[in-house]
Amino acid sequence: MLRALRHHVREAWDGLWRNPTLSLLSAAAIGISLYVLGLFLLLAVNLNRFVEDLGRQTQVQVYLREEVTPDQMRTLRAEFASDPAIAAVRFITKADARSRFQRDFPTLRDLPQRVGGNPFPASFELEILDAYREPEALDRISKSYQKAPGVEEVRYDRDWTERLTAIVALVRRGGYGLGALLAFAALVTVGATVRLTVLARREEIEIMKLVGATAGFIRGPFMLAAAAQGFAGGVLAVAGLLCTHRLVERAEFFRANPFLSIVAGRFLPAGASLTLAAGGALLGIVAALLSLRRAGTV
Amino acid sequence: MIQFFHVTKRYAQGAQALTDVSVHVEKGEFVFLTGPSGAGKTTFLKMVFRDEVPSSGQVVVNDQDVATMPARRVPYLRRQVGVVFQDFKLLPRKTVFENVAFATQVIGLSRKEQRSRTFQVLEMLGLNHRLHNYPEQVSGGEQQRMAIARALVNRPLILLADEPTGNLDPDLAREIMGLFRDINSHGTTVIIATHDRDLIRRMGRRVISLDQGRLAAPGAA
Repeated sequence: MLRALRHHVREAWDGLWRNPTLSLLSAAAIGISLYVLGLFLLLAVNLNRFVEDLGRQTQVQVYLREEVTPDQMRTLRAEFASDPAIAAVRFITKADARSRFQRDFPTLRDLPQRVGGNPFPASFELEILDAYREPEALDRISKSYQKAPGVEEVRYDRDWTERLTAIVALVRRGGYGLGALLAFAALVTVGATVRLTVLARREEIEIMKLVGATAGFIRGPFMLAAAAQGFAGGVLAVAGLLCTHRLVERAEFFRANPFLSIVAGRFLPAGASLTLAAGGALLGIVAALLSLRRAGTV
Repeated sequence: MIQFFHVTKRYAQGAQALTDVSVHVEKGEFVFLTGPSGAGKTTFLKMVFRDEVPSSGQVVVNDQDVATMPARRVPYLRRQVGVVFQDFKLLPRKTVFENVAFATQVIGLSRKEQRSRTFQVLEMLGLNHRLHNYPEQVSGGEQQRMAIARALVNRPLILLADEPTGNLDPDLAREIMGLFRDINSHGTTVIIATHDRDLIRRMGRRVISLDQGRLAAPGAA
């Protein structure tokens, strides 16, 4: 077993260096497909995190009517205090709402003045306990205050969260789709490389078979070489992703954009990076197996 | 050791290489397979190491039915059969030593065993002064001996040789035949395909004669 492995390693190494350009091309093909897949994963991982954060900050906004009375506000506060779903209550005055708008949208700072006065309503921000963050519970809370005296409207950000979750799923599926397409292209490239090597060594393989070499003994070096090319491709892809991530993280252009800054958030977990590299090796092995079967020589 | 039962071989193009051939070769026998070109000698040999399978009939080698044998068993059959090919089938990028050692490596012998067996067989065949030469750097006779060395190095039970003296001058042909006789005297079953009638007469061994794929003179010559 160990002897056969030593033979495979030696032959695989020789095979890789017999045509370095082809070997490099195979590794690059796998590298590119995994890089693209990784890029989408990176996007999905960070978007996911963003959505999770949003979910954690789930709040219910209770907007008050202009003519709300202090009594009505007191009643509302008492109801909030006795509601088991509510963790904390924050009162946002009309002035606070205006300042918040001016802070979030600096280019529209003077809009409140232009429309005359302060169009933003006062509101209560209700922080919801973890156990009550399901859509049904949020609906119940929302409905129970909708009809209360002095309340204009009750809103919560569930729709937003759900929409973002759908986007994350779409991004992930898109990544898988494109990754699979590129992986197929990589399979073809690596397969062609293996086939060329098999053709170049046809005579040797023929003699090996005639003197009693098993299929495993003949295939071993090809598979090992393809796995090495794939692994190198995977490592290249992870390195490329790391560089891209750093670049996005440091470039002012990306940081200024709230959406891209989400993407630049965090790098892939170590497990995912390792899986990408191992996936490269697996891709190489599959390509070699398919190609050896198709070549029919072995 | 080798049994052919009503073996017929038809190729896809319609040509019939063997027709209803039944023959037995005993363990340790030395047999000549003869007949004109195209008589089916090479097909006969190829069936013994399962490079071809019969279209009908049965070929049994060392108690194994080669036609129904699963593909994964074929390498182990071939390790029992050493073959000297008519065109030698040497690897031009490997030296004399490497060409022979190659066969021992393929069956998974240890490095030490590979070297020891290869040196032994090359010495026996008088090639120990050519170890580091490439096939193109040695004579036709030496290439022939390289091919024999590779067939013998794994100590097969059966040795097949397809026209092993075809490219050799008479002295060298005699020398090679003497070598086959020695190998046979150690218990290896030897089948030699040749159309050299003088050689067959001189050796005085059993002859299987084929003509247009049919057994022309079964039994002893």
